Amino acid sequence: MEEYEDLFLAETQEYLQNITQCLLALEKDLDDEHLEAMFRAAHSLKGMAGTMGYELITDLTHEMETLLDKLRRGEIALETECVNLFLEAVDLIQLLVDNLHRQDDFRPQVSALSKKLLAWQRVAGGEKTPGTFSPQQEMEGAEKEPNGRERDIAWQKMLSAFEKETLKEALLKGEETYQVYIRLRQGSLLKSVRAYMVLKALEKEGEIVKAWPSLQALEEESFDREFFLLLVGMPRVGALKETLEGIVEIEKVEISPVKLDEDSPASVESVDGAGLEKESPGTLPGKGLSPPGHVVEKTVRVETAKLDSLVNLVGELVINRTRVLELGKMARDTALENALEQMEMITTELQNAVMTLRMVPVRQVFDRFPRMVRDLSLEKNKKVELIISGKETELDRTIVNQMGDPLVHLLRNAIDHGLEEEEERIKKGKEPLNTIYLRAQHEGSHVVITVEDDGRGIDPEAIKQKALVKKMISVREAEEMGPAEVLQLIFQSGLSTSREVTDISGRGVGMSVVKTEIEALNGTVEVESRPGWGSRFILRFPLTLAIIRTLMVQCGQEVYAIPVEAIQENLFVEPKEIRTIRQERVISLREEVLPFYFLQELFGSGSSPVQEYYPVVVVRAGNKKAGLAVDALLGQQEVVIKSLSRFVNELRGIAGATVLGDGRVTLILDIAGLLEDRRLNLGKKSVDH
Amino acid sequence: MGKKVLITDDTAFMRMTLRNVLEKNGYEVVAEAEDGFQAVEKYQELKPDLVTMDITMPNMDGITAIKKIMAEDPQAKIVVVSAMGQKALVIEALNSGAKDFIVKPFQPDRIVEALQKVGG
Repeated sequence: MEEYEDLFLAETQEYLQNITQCLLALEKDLDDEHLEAMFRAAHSLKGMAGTMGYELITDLTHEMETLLDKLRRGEIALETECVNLFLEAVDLIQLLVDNLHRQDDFRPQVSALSKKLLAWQRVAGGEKTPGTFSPQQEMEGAEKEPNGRERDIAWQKMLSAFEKETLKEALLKGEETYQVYIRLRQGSLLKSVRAYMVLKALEKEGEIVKAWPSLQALEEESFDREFFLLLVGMPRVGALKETLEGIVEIEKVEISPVKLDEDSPASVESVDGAGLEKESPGTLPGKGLSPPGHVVEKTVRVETAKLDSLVNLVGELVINRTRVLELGKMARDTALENALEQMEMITTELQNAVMTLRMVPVRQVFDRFPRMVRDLSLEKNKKVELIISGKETELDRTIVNQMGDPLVHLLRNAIDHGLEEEEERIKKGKEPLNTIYLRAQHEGSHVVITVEDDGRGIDPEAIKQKALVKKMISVREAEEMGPAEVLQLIFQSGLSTSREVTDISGRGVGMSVVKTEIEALNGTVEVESRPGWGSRFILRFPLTLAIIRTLMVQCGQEVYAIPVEAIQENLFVEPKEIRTIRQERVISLREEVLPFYFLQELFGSGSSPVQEYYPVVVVRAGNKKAGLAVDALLGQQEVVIKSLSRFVNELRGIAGATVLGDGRVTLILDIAGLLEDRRLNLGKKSVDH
Repeated sequence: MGKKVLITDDTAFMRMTLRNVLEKNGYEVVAEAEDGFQAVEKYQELKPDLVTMDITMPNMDGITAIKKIMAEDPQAKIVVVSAMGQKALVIEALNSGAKDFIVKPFQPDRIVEALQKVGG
């Protein structure tokens, strides 16, 4: 079974997510579709867990399912308390799933929660539920089992006058009476349906006059695994036996003729009576089926490793294509060039198609948030509405997978620091309900994600004071900084403006980590705020990580690729413009003073030759900037990132490598890493001047 | 090659479980369907000897699929693989033409037994 575990885990996550979403939707607005979807999810979970032998998950999901069934049939109304209970169950299942091999530790919790769910089920109609789940319950009500060969039932004593009459009439027609004994296999499930199959088979061959246990008991599954039927008619006994034995889980079939005494006082007047017991289980109404027309993505599950390998191979293909194209141009053969042109088009399309395989909607991450925000707002007792838009916006899978943490942090921050109490809001003339917007949208080759709240905003003065106290800035710097600049300080470690440290946020490391995480994904983050009216965090991510646009620069013998994302501008700098302050070279760019480096020196390949002017690339990562002098700018090119071996990856300042059309290997610079590097001493934003 | 089987279940997990059990027991799983629509489609296309059918599925449930398949081919041999507690639905499935049913979670030998009993 272990081989299925991954699949089980993956699907379980989806279902749990699904249930949570439905619950939150239901809490707002009770509709059948969500109930139905939730029921299906719980149901599927149960099936999977059962097959895997995860007994506790099976138990719990069974109780959920039963309760959901009652909800969707309108027997109980969904109350917040009930939603909470379901959420609790989802959490517990998550816990069980996370600890698949230590399930027993959670047995007490599961049983407590199961009881609660059961209690809710009983709310329905105020009746005891027909718990058909535990075999013990099934035993109750079953009458004493006959032993060994004493299976012949004293039918005579059990027949009603009317039944006797029916029999008598049948016998007069020359029909015969048979006792059919059925034994199901140990542990059979849905025994009532097995019994139903038997009844159906018998009805083709005759009339069922009597059953023991009663037909009703058979239908209600209040029998162990044996039952007897009295059949009258002219059955083809052999064929009947064969049919019955052909039913799954029927262990034993015996058909034997029965001789009944015919001394019964026939009461003729009852012939026009209502007829036989009408408890054919076949008349049960069908339960509500899933509504048709429900949109579901048609997808194939593929291992991500396979996908990555495909993307990688296409990357190789594209690189080689460039090379072939260059060779083709050199050959000056029109036919060849035409063919190559065609190939270029197709490979470009292939590349685009493959790239979309890596794309997944941000929904995967966003869907976690309504639940989280709900719980936090309850905990903080601040009323908040989370409005999500652009869930279907697609982004590189890696980015989507990893942007969860920073977003969680931003949302928590918003709830913890941003949101206001109702009174405070009313006083300010705002809507009483706090609103947090989470949006995703395309913007050129980027996806922009904004986390915005309409709470109290960030007070630049408070940040400034804090930064001063923590000696992150000098008094003079503080005086010179504009509000926008001050805001950027929140991304530096050691700054937290929360008055108290809560378990949600405010440990003073948060925002700098958020920034680092976002930048590790080639993304950027900015903050805007209107004190008193809210703040907005703007995250920008490239659509894909596999291919990036770079600026190729020549540096001595080497060509380096600088991601365009990290470039602010290019300029030419004359040697006289380079100044030295505290043994550091700097240049002035408009109002700013930027650290200045020769790229060649950074990578230890000697000093650059003195030139009339140096081409300089102004790079930035977060709020750090620097000017990098190179020998020549070679132009922009899209490159496919190939990661270096693990050992080389340790190199700070190198994000990866790429192979150029002519076969040369080029290093791609990691500007954020480069600017973080202590060697460069860029930790401070500015030097004193 | 053994009998050709079409597996229908909306969970990839259950499909994989079924496939493994059946293939170990000499059946040839010719296709997997994730919902009733696919099951009907695949049935028409591949004419399998046997079909396993989940009941609760999105798009088209198992019962509708059974009805459609039976209308197409009254000889179709369909075994319902249902979860616990779906009594009424299982009965409806049987009335719609399914030959037999087993209940998830199942012992591997049960599904094999069911298929043997139904399809030989």
